[in-house]
Amino acid sequence: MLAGGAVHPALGHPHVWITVRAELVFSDSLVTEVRQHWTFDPAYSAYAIQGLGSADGTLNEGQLRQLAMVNTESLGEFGYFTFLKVNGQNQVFSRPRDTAMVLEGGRLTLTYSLPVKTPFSPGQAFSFEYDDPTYFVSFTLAADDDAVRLVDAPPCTVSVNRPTPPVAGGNFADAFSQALSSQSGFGTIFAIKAQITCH
Amino acid sequence: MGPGPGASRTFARLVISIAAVAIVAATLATLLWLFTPAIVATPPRNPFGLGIREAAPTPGGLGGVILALQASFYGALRNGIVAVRADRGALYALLGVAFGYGVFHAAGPGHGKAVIAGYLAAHERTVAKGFGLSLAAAALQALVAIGLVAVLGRVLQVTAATMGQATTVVEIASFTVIVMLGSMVTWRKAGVLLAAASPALSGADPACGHGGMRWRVCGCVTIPQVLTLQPGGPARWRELGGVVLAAGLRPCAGAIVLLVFASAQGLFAAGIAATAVMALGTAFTTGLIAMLAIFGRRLLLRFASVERRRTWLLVTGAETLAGACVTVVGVSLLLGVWSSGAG
Repeated sequence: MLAGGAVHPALGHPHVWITVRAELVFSDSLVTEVRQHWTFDPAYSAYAIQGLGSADGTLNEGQLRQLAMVNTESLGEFGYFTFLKVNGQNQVFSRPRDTAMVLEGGRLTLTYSLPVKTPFSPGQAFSFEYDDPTYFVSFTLAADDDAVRLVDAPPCTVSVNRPTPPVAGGNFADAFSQALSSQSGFGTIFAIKAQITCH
Repeated sequence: MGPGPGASRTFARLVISIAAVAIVAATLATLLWLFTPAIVATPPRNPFGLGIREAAPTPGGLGGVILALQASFYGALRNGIVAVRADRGALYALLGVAFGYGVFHAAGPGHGKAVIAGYLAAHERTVAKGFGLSLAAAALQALVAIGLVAVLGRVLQVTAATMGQATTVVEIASFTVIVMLGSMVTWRKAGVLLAAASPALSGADPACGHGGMRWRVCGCVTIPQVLTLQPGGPARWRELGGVVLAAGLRPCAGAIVLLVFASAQGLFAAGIAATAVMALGTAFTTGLIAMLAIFGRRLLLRFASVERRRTWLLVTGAETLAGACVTVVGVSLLLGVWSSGAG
């Protein structure tokens, strides 16, 4: 996927903000899939649903399903911005299943299950990460403690690295000093990383 | 810019033009290969299949600072629109943020600046013209975004995917104009170069006007005098119009999303105002870059103003390459659209 980032040299400064919640699903002690819940920011939501809604701004089932499909179709090229790393090796995903979209309070939430192509044993530890090397999408982890949840897992602990995105509250001075002091640049500000350690 | 006196001359001019483009393309390709981050990259397709996309600076160092600033201003713009819905007095804050967004958004890489700077590097133009070009290009960019959202979004109520397709059409048109402009400048400068390089030709070359070759007679005409001999009157205005079209036709993705958002909130007018102020900010930054191109060029000419044929050849050669640069930028942008399959 990093190679993919090189092929697609650049998108924008983030134009899409996503608040994520994820479940890592285990089966027989193997990691089998990632269930994604992506809530889009109000501006991108408005853009995505334009011309679709009825007068009261609601979408019907078919429109939401259609939107979920369109939104996930191209994501494969970007590896779903999701990086599951075991022993430094990126895992590959199969096509997403159970894609759905809901519109609530002017924000779209996309849910889908991403099967791990080859289910793997968690071993000692593995990492789970969101990143857009092209900086078009900014990922933020949902604020609550179980934003990354393990389902049917053996005893494992999740530790999350929550970078402060320079935007959320629009605090310009903070973003500025953060950007200046960040040695490795913008990427580290935006990347979300969870480390899963199993016992 | 009429046809040359002979077929062989036209052929030589063509060879020079193509060689200039090839040199620039090869140099850029080498630079890209050495330093992976793209200088002017066509943004790839939108990951959500809805069409909008944008080129970004490289994430490290200064590029990272610019990115962070753009991102925070963009977030503040979005919040600003929400704030205006609650309190109309928040409009001024929104406009202030929009100006800042324009300034920093334009500080990233973009073909608009490359086109304007390339054109100004190849021609002697005043600072006022440079700023005028920047302002007109930014205004056009804002108008295209407003027009697209007003007509497609509000009147025709098309979907985001359709709007994305329409934006791609505008994009292709814009990149085509860049190629045309670049080719025209390259062709013109190749003509001047050829006339200067071949002693057999006299000063009757229509490419540089009468008297353009006087230096060969007495060697006393200063280089700036020679270089200003370019089309005047309506032709000049047509050409400047072409530069504005090439630099400003493609709307900014952020502006489109924010306009749609404002429109959905019932605040389209505030969105238009913010977009207009954003254009002023963009013009400010592009204007500064235009000034750099103008002063850089003048500085170079001062060093080169020893009235010698060789320096003059060098300057004209550099101008030909500047024109070729614009061509290469346009071609690579077009190739990018084509290869990303967005067409």
